[in-house]
Amino acid sequence: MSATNQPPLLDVRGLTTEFVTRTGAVAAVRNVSLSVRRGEKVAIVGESGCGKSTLALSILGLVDRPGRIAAGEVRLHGRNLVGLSEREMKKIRGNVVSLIFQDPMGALDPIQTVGAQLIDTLRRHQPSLSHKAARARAVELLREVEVPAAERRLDDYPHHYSGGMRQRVMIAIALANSPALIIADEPTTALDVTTQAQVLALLERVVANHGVAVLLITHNLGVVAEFCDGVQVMYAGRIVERGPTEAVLAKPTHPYTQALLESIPDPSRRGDRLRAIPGMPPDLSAMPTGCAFEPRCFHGHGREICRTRQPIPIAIETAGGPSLVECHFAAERAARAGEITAS
Amino acid sequence: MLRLISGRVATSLISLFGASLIAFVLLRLTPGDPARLFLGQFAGEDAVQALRAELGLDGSMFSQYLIYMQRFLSGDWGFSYSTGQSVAELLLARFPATVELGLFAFLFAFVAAVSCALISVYRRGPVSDGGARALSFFAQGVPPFWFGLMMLLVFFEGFGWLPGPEGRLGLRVIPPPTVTGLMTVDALLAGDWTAFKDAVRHLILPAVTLGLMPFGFLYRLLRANLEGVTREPFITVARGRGLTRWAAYVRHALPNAFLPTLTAAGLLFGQLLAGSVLVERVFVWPGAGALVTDGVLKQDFSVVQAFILLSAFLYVLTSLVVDILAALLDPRVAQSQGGGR
Amino acid sequence: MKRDWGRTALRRVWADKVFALALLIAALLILGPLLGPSLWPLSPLDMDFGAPLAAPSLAHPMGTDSNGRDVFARFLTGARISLAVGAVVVLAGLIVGGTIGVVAGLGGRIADSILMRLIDALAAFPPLILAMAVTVALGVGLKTAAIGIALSSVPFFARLMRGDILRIKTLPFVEASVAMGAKRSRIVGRHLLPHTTPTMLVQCASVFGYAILTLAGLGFIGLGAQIPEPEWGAMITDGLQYALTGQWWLALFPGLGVLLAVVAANLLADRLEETLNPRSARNQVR
Repeated sequence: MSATNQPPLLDVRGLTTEFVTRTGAVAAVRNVSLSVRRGEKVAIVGESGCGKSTLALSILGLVDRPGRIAAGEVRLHGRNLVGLSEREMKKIRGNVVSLIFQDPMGALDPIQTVGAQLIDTLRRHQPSLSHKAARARAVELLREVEVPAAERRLDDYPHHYSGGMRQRVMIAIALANSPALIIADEPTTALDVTTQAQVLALLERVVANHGVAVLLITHNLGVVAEFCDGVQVMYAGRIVERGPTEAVLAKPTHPYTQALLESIPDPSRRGDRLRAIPGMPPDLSAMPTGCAFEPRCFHGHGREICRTRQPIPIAIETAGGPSLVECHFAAERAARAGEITAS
Repeated sequence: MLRLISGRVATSLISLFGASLIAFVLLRLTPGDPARLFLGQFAGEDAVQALRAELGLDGSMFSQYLIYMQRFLSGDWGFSYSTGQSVAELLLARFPATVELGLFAFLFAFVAAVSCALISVYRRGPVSDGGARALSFFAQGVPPFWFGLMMLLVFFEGFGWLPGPEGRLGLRVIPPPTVTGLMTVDALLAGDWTAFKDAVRHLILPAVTLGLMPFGFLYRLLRANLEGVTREPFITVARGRGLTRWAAYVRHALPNAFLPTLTAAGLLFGQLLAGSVLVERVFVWPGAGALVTDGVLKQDFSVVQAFILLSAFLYVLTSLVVDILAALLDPRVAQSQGGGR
Repeated sequence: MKRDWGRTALRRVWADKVFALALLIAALLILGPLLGPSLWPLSPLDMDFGAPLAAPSLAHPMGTDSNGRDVFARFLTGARISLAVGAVVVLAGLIVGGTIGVVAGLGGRIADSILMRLIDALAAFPPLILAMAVTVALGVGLKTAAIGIALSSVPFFARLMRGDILRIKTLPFVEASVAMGAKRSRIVGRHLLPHTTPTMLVQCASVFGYAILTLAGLGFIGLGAQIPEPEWGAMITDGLQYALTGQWWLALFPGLGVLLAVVAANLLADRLEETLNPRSARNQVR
């Protein structure tokens, strides 16, 4: 977070991804802008179905028909990736930008050995590497992600690995070609709680060792608090609030962020009822004309402006840096939040 | 793994036993006395009785079945009523031609099905989709013998590009010395380029005709599997590792989609076997299938009956081998039974 | 965006068109033979020795055969034969195979394994070859061919029915009515059988196509209908010797008839599967 004047590693501008269905185009990602600096760890949080995964796939150009990127740019080191051919993209994927996928059980080809997939990743981007050297490197990588008996386990098939071990393999594959950025889509969601903590600690460690930037996609705010420098809250395809992690989590300005935070158990508020967010996320094919969160919002509910006008991002100054919030009442709410903490 | 194989062998043996019972019952139901049919209507009653005794036809049903099976398993499949030749010799002499045709038909069906399935799933457009679907419906609905005839009308009668129904070689081409019985292989072994080219030209239409239905079947199966596999996360992950979509489809989706189709390969073999009976006649192909059709025409059913039980054996055996092969190729099955963790 | 819209529309129309086409062919193939012989003046067996092997013309839209018989009249009667055999095979296969499947699925382990071994034995033959074997054994002819084809379709129905019954048996609502002490016959009649209808309907349509195709095959090798009976397969055999000497119409039209009938049946089966079993693996495709 220190080098603010450095150009961002990843700069997404106005990205819109839509899926063409029989009844028309449905946008799953709407006009999303975000940037990740070298070595920065940025989180995207939101409920399932809010478009986080589609955003991750869009950045890598992995959205297939009937989906497509309808507008926007994805700049990596200043170069726009949108519209590049598969041949150009394959040099970037797994090399400059790696992907860790949410479902460790299905993320590895079940009929190829783990080693074959790891070695393939290495040699694809380092053609000069001999098979022997690639194998040695693969063992090294497995050791780094703490897979026991790495040498032997290289020739095992994915079904011999437990979920946590598979996710370690995924991390090894992502690290293989020393990428500048790893996009991790719900990397610990499918694991049990103890394994989650281990895998997350491992990810944190290797990322720190290699100085890799991470775009972490999750619905787990606890993970965000522990791991990330910045956070982007996504709702119904849009980023509704973004800012430094501490500021956003301590003083959520957008009603959705606040509701999200109140819906997780917190030991300090023991005895309080957990507040679930009423209602359901809007149907993406029939979006409200105004603010997408309005029907579920406790703050703006029923107000004319919320129903009729899409809010524009409003800048809020926080202790950790500037924050952007897409809410008509952002300034008012921020001021009030300040009062509450002050008093 | 061993338990899997032995279980599969046991079920195969049981179905073969059942199949042989069915074949035996059907044989007994066939009107006419085999001894009389073989000796002809002018033979004396004594001779017929003697032959009946020799063939074991005067014993109980049970002993008759045992004799029937013993004879079948020892390769004694009776005699042709019309020529008096041994059925086993007749069938064996015709077998290489059928095998060669079947191999080429399978090659066509396999290559065509894999490429059509890959391309139509890869392109995901309504045009390639519809075209491939229409083709598969055609392939599974067209009577193969009729399709062969129409092919002859177009490519032999019409354009004159390919040879007509004259068997495996043109009249003026000297056949290579028989080594394997497969004309193309023998021609290559003899270094006879002319005969090889001629043999291949003679194979094209019959092989496409015979392979059409298996193509349609395999294509539909493969395509449905591919559609499923390409949605698997590991395809996205493979692309995320740096494979193009096409490379991910070929290297990861295709093998995973193909593996489960292996167990259906027995059905494919059955289609080829039954198809050869229908198709060989159209092309005057000197194979076992044409022998069966000839037998029907001449009311000489001994060949037909031998072929029926033989095809059940081959059919069950192929399914068995392919199932075991599929289990061996799939690491999840191969290692889950024994030696796995 | 507009182009994608066009593509979606194209896909829908194409899908509907295919269905419409299948229905149209089916209607033609059913109505034609039913009404045809009364509307079309020529008989399939009457010979016109003045015009043997006449090419298609207004008087003979599909030409005449070597004995001067009108191919169109024969085509219509052939359609009738194919449809009748198809219907008989489907009914017989459904009743026999379906019963075996239900009994195997509900009758306990011993009944299940005996019946399923029987089905395995039948399925040990390639279907066409089993049909061939039965026809040879019972004496060559149209009826025995139909019996053979029906027998060869029994495994298709039996295995599917058994699988369906085993699946439905464990559904909560069936287990609930068992727990409530409903009578066995009531459970089978009210709960199990109605829920097999979608699968069975699809299977009936596809076996219908299989029956027509196999009948033509048996007819072609001389095991089905005998000349001069105007069965499509036998008509193709009849045309075989003339096809390469210029009289292509003899074989062309009956073959087209088989092709259209089978494709229509398969399309129907496909579309039924899509509408009735929307969650089946095959439908994840679209």
